[in-house]
Amino acid sequence: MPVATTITFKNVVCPFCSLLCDDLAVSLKDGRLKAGHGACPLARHGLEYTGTALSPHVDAKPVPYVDALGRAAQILRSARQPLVGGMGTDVRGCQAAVALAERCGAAVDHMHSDAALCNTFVLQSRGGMLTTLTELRNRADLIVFVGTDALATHPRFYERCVWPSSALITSRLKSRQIIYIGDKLKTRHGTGRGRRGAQLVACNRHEIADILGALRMLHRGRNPATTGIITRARLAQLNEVVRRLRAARYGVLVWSAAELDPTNRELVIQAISELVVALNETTRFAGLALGGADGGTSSANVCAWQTGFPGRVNFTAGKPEFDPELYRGRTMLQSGMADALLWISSFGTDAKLPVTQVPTIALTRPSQRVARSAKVYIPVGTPGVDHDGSLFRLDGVVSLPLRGLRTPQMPSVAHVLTQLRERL
Amino acid sequence: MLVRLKGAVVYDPMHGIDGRRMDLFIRDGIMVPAPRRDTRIDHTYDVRDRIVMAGAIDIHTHIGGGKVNIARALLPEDHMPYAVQGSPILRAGSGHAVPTSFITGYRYAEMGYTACFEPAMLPANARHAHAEMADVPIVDTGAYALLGNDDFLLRLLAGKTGQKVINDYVAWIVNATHAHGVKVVNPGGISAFKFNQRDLDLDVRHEHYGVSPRRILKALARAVHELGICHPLHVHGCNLGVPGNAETTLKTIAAVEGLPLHLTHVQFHSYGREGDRGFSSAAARIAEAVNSNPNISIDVGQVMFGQTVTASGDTMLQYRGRRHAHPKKWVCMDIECDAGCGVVPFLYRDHNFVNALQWCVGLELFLQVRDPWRIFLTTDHPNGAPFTTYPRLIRLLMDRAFRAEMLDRIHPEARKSSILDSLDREYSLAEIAIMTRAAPARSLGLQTRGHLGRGAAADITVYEPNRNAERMFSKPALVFKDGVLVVRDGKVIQSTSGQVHATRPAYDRGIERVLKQYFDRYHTVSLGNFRIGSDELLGFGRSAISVHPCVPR
Ligand SMILES: [Zn+2]
Repeated sequence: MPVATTITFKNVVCPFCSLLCDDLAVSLKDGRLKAGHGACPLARHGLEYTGTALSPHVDAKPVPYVDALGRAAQILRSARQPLVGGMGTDVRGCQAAVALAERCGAAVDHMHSDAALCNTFVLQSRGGMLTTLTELRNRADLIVFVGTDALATHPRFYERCVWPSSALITSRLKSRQIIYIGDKLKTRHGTGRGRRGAQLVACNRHEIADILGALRMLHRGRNPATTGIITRARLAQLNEVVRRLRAARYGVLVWSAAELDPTNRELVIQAISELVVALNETTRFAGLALGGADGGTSSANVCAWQTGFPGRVNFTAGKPEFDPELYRGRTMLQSGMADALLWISSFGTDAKLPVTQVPTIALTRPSQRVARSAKVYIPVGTPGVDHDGSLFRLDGVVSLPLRGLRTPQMPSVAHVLTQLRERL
Repeated sequence: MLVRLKGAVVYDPMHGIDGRRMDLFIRDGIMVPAPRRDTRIDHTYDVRDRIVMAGAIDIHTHIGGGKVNIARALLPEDHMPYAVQGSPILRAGSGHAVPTSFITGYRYAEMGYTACFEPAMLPANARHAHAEMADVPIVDTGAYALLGNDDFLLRLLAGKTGQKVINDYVAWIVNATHAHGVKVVNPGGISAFKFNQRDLDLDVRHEHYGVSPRRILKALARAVHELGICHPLHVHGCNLGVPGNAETTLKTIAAVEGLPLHLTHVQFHSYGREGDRGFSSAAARIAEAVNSNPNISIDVGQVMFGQTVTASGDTMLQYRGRRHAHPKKWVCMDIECDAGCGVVPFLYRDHNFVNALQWCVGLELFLQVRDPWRIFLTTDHPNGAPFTTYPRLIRLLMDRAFRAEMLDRIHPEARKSSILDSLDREYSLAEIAIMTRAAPARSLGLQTRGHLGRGAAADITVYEPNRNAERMFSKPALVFKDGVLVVRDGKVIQSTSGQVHATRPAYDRGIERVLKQYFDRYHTVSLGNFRIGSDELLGFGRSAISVHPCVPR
């Protein structure tokens, strides 16, 4: 018996949220990973996850890999309208998924697309002015969090970007101010070391669009009517906010579509975009959308360059068709439009497998629960844990290499999908 | 495997061959001399009377990376009506002005192109650019790393750092991003825009760093030259699209004091301020400057009428151009203390005075620059027009009657203010072969591309002669890529993966210590992860990395 040694990896890129922090220390002993320096709760949970059910299953029974693959091919071959859902994978996995969808006439939809597409819709209707993490970190002297505090979904955003120990323009970091707009936000993190506290514009989620609209009017020198939520006292506060916005040299509005009110989030994002554009008449501002976890940004980018659309693409006619309403995965399953589901989720420890009557092929991290519930279950490795790969960060510009940390016991999504495609 | 192309009418300017009838021989993807009489020939293509050239090379085309993909996401209307069916051998896709990656490769190959160079690869976006371009089938790819707006370089210049360190930095970036060349876009201007400076002429100082575009330009031109990178500094100058910018362009030419320089999409930089509308052609003056400065090469960035999208690193000028967006939407993005991008959809109309005159300016440049070895055919795809308009552009250059016919259709005031109808030059096939093959290959230092001599890669285009040059160039009879027949009768019949062209200038490792410290202090990515490994690059799906030598000077 060889003595179990501990290997420590440094500068590990963490694939478990869309910040892709790349300064983690991770140690490996007996095939088990332990998260060290730089690991947030999401990283720890993702890295240290050990699922059971390492063998592929068909009808909840363990089978050899080739049998699972054969059964999966059969399901896809006999389906009229398959759906490739989840899309929780890296760049190579997305490429393989689109290729497979094209081969079998499937639709493609990412698990977080409801939120992500709100950003897309606003982009497609009016465009926008955007920025990236390193710009925010070094240049911003004002950061406005709209409807989010970023904490739950991007735990190290403050440490890595908002309050770094140094910035290219020191004065901007020193004078950096934070404003929050929304409710139930943890504003404590908006206070830097020895700096003044953050300002909070407290309002309900569904009121955010009105607040942003009022800010834009005030910026334009017009007074919004004092009705509804825009009270006199509120107006005084908003005037103060506008004063700060206008005085900023480089402001960033940060939002997370998933955390906005689902009934009007497109309006909010549109209002953000309009406010940013208006402020650029005299100073510099830009927007930064959080989100894009589970390979969401990678899926959008790969779909765009391979199909011409950022997602919700259907190949049933042999060519890519984009219809964000019609090809919404959940709707396709509920309406009976889709008659087979291939579900991909290689990052999350909770596979988010949709409950559906149609035969399901699940490519997920090892999970007893999925093994029992899917028609065909093929456990897959996680990019950046079990195998190499690459992922796009939330800003859609930067992508990072992922390195496998342990001897893979399971194949990659790309590998499985490529073999599956060959059988169709 | 020995293949013969029999009876070809060959245009191979690198070897002074101008329409000579001869047989060509390919062995295992490489051009070889005629074998001995008794050698067995495995396959013969009868190409009697057909015009044969090396595969064409596009020196400046935006085919991959962040801004192109933002353009796709922004414009479903550029894709929905242009969806393309897949087949057992070809992938599906879509797009008119910014086609998807697969369609881009197929369409280029179908026009006889075998190599494309993405001119604006942001180092921070290089991994994406290469991954995306690996999905552009058949053609070889390469990219120029964008520098000159990155805070690291501007700090070096502000700190009066010596040229040696700048050279090391440039070389490091080229290596780390597998670039083939170096480009500067609106030197300092993209960065200045982040500091709310709204314009920046050649000798104006960057508000924060105190350096002028001239300084940046000189430092980079010198770095590229001294490192021995074959392709000269690729320059998208100051004041793109601004009336009167020809002055800046002339000053830019003078600024480098004889160092080699490639000025890109010069059409957009050749405007005067004369006439009632304050907008005129200065193409004659620019052409004259190019003619008398042998260190200068240009590509044109011809405008062709129709819908397209402009995608550029030049946020400062794209922001200014947002008012002309058609449809009414646009994106500007500040990127990673590295550069930026601006995407503005645009409709060039022949009845619009400015657009019509832009069209004239491009053609005036083509017709007045005398040396086809120093002027390359581009539309700055997709900025002036999609690359699929090249055959029509070639006809405009080769066919005076057609040009006159088109000239009759444009805005009459534009026609009047242009000297175009007095220019009766017609490009010859040999000149087209120079401008689309031999000259770009020479400028890029591609020793085995752009010609058909011994040892060249068998990238070959066979055209059916036609008096209508547009028809001839839009539908080659045969196209070979590295000896593989990929196109027959203008349609892709087989898809392959091309190579990625790169260069590897040497540098002092000491720069990595400085850079590591900089990245650790300011960036959100570590230096090690910023760099792209060769294995990683190949893993994206290119068939090989073709490394071109540097000769330090
Ligand atoms: Zn360009």
